[in-house]
Amino acid sequence: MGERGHARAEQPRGRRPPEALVEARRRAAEREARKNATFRPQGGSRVIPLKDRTRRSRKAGFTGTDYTLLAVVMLMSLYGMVMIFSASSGAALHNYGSSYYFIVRQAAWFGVGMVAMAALANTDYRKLLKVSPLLVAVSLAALAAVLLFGKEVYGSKRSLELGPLVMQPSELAKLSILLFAVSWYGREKGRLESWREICMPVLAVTAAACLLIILEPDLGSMLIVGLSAFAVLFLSHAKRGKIFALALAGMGLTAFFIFISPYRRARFIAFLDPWSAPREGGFHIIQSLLALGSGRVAGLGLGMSRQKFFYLPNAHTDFIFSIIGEELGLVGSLAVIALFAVFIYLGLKISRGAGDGYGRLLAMGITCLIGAQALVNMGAACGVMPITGITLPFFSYGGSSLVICLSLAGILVSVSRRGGTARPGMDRRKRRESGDMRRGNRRPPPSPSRGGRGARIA
Amino acid sequence: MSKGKNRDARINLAAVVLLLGMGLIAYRLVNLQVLNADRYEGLAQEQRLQSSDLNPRRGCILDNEGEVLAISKEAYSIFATPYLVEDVPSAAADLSLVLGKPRQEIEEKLRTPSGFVYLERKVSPDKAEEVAALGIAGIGLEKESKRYYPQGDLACQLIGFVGTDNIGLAGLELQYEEILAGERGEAELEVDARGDPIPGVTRIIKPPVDGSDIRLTLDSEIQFKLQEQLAVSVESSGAKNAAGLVMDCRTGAILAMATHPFFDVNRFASVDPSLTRNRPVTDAFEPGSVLKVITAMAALQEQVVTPGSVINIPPSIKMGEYEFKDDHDMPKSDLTFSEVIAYSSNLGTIKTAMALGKDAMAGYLEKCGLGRKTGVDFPGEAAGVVPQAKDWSLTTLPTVAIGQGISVTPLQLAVVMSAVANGGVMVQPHFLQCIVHPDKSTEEREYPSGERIVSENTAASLRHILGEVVRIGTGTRAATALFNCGGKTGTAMKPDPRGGYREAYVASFAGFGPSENPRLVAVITLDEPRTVYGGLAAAPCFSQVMEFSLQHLEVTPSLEKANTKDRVVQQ
Repeated sequence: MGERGHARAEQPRGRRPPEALVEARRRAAEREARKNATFRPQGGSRVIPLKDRTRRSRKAGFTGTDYTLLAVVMLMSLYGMVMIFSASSGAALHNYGSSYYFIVRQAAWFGVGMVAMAALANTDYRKLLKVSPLLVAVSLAALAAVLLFGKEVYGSKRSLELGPLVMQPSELAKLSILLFAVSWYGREKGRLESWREICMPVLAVTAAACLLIILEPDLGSMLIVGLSAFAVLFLSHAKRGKIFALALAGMGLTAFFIFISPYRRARFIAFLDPWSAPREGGFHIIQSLLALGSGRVAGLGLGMSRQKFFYLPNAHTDFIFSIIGEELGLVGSLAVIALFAVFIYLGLKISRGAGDGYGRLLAMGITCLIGAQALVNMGAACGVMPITGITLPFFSYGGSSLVICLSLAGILVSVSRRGGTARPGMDRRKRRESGDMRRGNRRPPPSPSRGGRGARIA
Repeated sequence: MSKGKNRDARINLAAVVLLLGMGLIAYRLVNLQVLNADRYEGLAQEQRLQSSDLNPRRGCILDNEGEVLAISKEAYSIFATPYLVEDVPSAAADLSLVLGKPRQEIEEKLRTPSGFVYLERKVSPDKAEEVAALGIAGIGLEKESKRYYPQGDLACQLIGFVGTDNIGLAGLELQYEEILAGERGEAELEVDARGDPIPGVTRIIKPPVDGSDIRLTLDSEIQFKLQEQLAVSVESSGAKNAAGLVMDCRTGAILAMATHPFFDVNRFASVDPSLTRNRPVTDAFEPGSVLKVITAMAALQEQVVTPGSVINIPPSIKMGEYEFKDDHDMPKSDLTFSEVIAYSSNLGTIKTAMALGKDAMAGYLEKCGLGRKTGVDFPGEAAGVVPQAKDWSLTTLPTVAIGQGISVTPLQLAVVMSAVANGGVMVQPHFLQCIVHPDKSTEEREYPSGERIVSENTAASLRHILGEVVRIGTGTRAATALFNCGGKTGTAMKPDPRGGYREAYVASFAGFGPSENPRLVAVITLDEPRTVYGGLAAAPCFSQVMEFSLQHLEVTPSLEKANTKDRVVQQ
């Protein structure tokens, strides 16, 4: 559909250049745009000469990097690792003979995640959007492979084992579906009017991924994957009614999946009244509440959790938040909430200051994904949401989860580094004046408000 | 621009929703961690705080030389937390191999919907180690102590046994429960969900107080000899069962007490309960002629007769409907009172009792403690049955005088015999010598010396008469090689539960030794032997046991041999 748009944009010129020339010009413009995209003055008040902006090249080093975001992400990961060590050392010693079993692995994955984050922060996110179909294909293939060759744990196959590496493709699926959704809904901005445009291909691909994930089965991850596509759609220009309808359909499907599985049904009922079956379905919820309550305001002290002694299953993965609340009290648990709140705020800021519509969608999509996942996890720990078994981003033990979260943070940094000024409205106008005109509207227009009319100016 | 605003609005809305969600969680956290913290903290403590009993060591039971009769050994109970066991069939298979129990049974236990189930109580430390080596999640070991009786069947009915909770259920284990048990301590520990203690948080609230050892008056060697000889007697006489006891006649200290058949005390709980009766204390029987000792004692003390009084023995004595006879022929028709007892003449005894009178006879039965418990420190003592004086009919006096129609326990006989041996003073029979506290201090038990029931002279005369029983009378087989002994045989018909008597007998012998300075009394009873006479069936056992016991106690052999084996006059 994008191609049709360009074709129409060519018509006012009256003379149609040869196809090859059109293509060559488009590529040149894109290269130029890519060069210019890194423009981001620090602090909105600083005035940068127009000439500089027009001739701007990709800034080297860490210029433009959102250090606050980096700091928050680092803090969360390190905080998480401290708590993982505290929560897992007993179980690790009991099951693997070494207290350091989990923490060593998490530290290694943290290293991998840092590299991924740095690499993605230095990559133009638009490149990522371009390769997103490939990523989606890889994800779908990996999800299929899980069903065929996955390692079964607690009755579900969620991970692939490649030698010593254990990976959860559903984590990759989150990221790739998000990127793919942004690349399509960003491109289709303002024209998401028919169901066909909304569904094809983003929702179709998402549905396929969700189907593969629910077959594992892993309802929690499925919800997050579905949610990431839905969030991007919501943030784009789709009509409110359609979004509402989709949300209803999603909730209906979720309810359907809960009630066809006796296990999930039991969990859901246990969520509604955990005390009705404190030994069975309600066990996790109750133990989590007991952990949090035991912590009171100041906590039992680092390493002093009692609930980690096998009362709270998966203390270092799904219920790391409960252990934080137990050992560090309300102070520690509110600190986690504060970190996520700052993360959400920074995500919002980056989104609003993004250099183009893709950046806006991408930044807020990532923020929603991380924020929603955190809410679902912490909500489950507090007993206000059913337990779905998804991780607390940056905190929980799990290599795939940590690497993907750090990668998402890296993309966020990338958006921040290629954003406009702190005043988005002005930035859009300036960019239109300086960049869009020269680019001749060959590439998807950066401003959602002016997308369709770029050609008139040219 | 409207669309741009719209999109800004949606971005803002998303962020607001997320931040509101965070706020909701924060609110919920305040609720959980501040407002309702007490409740959740209480529940958390409740589930992990375990006030656990600290089991004290149960005291040992020792014999009079400190030989161990009962001791508590370290043992382990194996339990499961069923919901933590992941692979039930394979766990059950492994455990059944180690524990030697059917796999089915273990599997059933592992499927019980509870948090705790014992798979096996009190296995040896070796076995416990094997189970631990299996490393099955949800299977745990609990340290306990197990009662062990190293002497096997020695004094089996006496010692009794303890239940799985180490509480005495029978015998001396029951009698001295409070002393042996000690006091349970209490510890508050925090356990993890598997039931293992969380390291470093156990608090001892009250330390346990170990039980004290009890040292018995029992002498293992005499006990062994008694058991051995009872077995020999049962073998040779074909008796259904046999009982006997050896007691220090000066103090009432019981040196040995046994009931045949025996069994291994370690298997007490699985033994037929009828075998676990400590018959000398718990079972009364009609003693027959042995009771003539009391008739003689009363007659001598009341000076109705002297040992030399001549009594004419008629062929029979008719009392109302009933005709009394001697059940063996007497050597002559005129017997001295000594000879009446020595030959165990029923008619002579009945004549003496008639002369004595009903009230005097009843009074002496009472004085001798018949119909009353001796107060021995053993649970379940029988009192025996003595007909009330007001209910006595015409035939009661002659019947009781020869030991029928009245029931006594062997221990009561031993006490009566002690009074004779002892110069007329009753003793308090007992098993407990002293208590040895965990700090090794000992607490001796004092026993009151009993009251005098007859004069020293009467007792001396009676001792002489009982010596004659062994020298010339029915008890010649009770004679020993080295010691002069005295005693009385008994051959009693057993009462038929349907009324009257049946053709079944209890053969018994009660006696003392050495005669000149008595040290021990012994009572032997055989239930339904083929050779019915006490003098034939029970006396040889008495002889063996008495001789061994006196030698074991290093009693000086009698210098003047009066009725030792070589002086016995065979009829």
